Amino acid sequence: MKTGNLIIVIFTATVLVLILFVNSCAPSAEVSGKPGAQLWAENCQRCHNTPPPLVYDDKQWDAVVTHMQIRANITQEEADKIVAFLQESN
Amino acid sequence: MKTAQIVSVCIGILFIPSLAFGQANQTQSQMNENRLKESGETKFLLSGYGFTGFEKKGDESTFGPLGFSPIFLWKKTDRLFFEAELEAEIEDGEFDIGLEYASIYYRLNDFLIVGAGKFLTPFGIFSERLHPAWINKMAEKPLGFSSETGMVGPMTSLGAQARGGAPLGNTKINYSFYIANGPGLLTDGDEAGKLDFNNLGDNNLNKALGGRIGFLPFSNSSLEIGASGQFAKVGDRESPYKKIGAAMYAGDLSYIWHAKSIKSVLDLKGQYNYLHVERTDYSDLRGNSYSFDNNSSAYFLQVSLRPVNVDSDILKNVELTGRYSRLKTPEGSEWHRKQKQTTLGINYWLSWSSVVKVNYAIEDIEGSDSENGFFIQFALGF
Ligand code: HEC
Repeated sequence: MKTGNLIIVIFTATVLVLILFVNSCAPSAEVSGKPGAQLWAENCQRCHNTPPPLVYDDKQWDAVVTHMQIRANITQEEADKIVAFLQESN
Repeated sequence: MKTAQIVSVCIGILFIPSLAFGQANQTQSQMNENRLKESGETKFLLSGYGFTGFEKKGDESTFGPLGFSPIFLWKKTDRLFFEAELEAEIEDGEFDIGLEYASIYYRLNDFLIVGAGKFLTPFGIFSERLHPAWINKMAEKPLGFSSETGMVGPMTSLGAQARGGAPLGNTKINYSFYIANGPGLLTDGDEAGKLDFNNLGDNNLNKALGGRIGFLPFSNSSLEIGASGQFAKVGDRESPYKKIGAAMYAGDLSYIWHAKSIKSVLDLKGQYNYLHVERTDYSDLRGNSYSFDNNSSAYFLQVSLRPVNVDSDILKNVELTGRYSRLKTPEGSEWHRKQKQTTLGINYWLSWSSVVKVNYAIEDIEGSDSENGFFIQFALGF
């Protein structure tokens, strides 16, 4: 791969991300109204079975959901609501 | 422009959108700041997984492979996070211990987390998201996604990354970009032209740049499609191969469907990897030079069905799985291989992360006798 091509590829990728983010980086009303329980059910089943709230305590859930936020690129709002739900329900 | 400059420009560009959005969303970040002040205590979790089993391939059979991978998680503050995984394995009669990953992450804002260390490479989904034994639906990894069959793409990388996810109306987008030591080109003997992805020290000054962009088009997050790429010079610095570059691409798909009519969850996963190394001359054992089009590809498509909503306590834990996978390495190379594999299996889930898998694999290797395999694996995430 020539450096020229490399620049093009990276540039396109970053511009794409830039445009998408600046234009409309906000959830719809439907999405932002979702409760933590629903976000947990929808997101935590995508790679493995959904972990039940009872398996960890509050602090452990905090660590796990940060781990998963990074692993799965879950949005901050989703991660915050999911932790709150798991901590309420364990 | 030097690679280093490109990288700094890119990382710079990555920050702009997050800053721009940060302003528009003051209340959200103020809320986060308030939350931050209340915490600061370290949150620790020791998790990980173990697996063991039995396999019969052709006329050989053995207990194993056996693995134990403890994972250590420390959340120091709401912004600072550390994760590490050790990996101990007995495979093919050998014991191996390794550092699978160890990374520090810092959350700069809601849309950008930066990290450095050794990490599971966000190239496609198998390495980063599906490989742990309790997550992988099959006892074996797909062709081209394990060191036994030869990797067509990276598994882990040593470097730095920037990643995040953001909502876009009813959809979501996420990105992971990284810079890493990158693979090294093997140039001797019967592995000439192959890439060594365990390049923990860098063999040249050039760094690999790569990343993945994922898109979730539905508001219930059931579908994610991803595209990945990685580019690097792979030849040793002091060698005639120093200018040789490698480009690799991957496409991936992940879909979860709650099929209400059959009270089941259907899970579809797939990934296609393509790897190109620039053409060059190698010399064989007699000293004659030869070359070949150095392109490899590997893919898998996997489907599983679990009747989670039936009344029977036994049946709801049963999962039927099927996977097709294919590997092709360059014709003309000493390591040329064309291989297909169809695996069928039944899993029984003992808890959300503990499973017993029974698999039968039908293998077709061009130019040699096919070896069908039978596997039992017990995997437990903790
Ligand atoms: C993108 C795929 C993916 C998604 C989505 C995902 N996980 Fe995970 N999860 C993993 C992987 C991979 C592991 C194995 C740990 C590793 O490799 O670091 C894991 C491990 C875990 C574990 C075991 C403990 C640990 O942290 O290692 C828990 C608990 C867990 N996930 C909970 C969750 C929850 C809760 C969610 C929803 C917020 C979630 N996961 C969403 C991929 C995912």
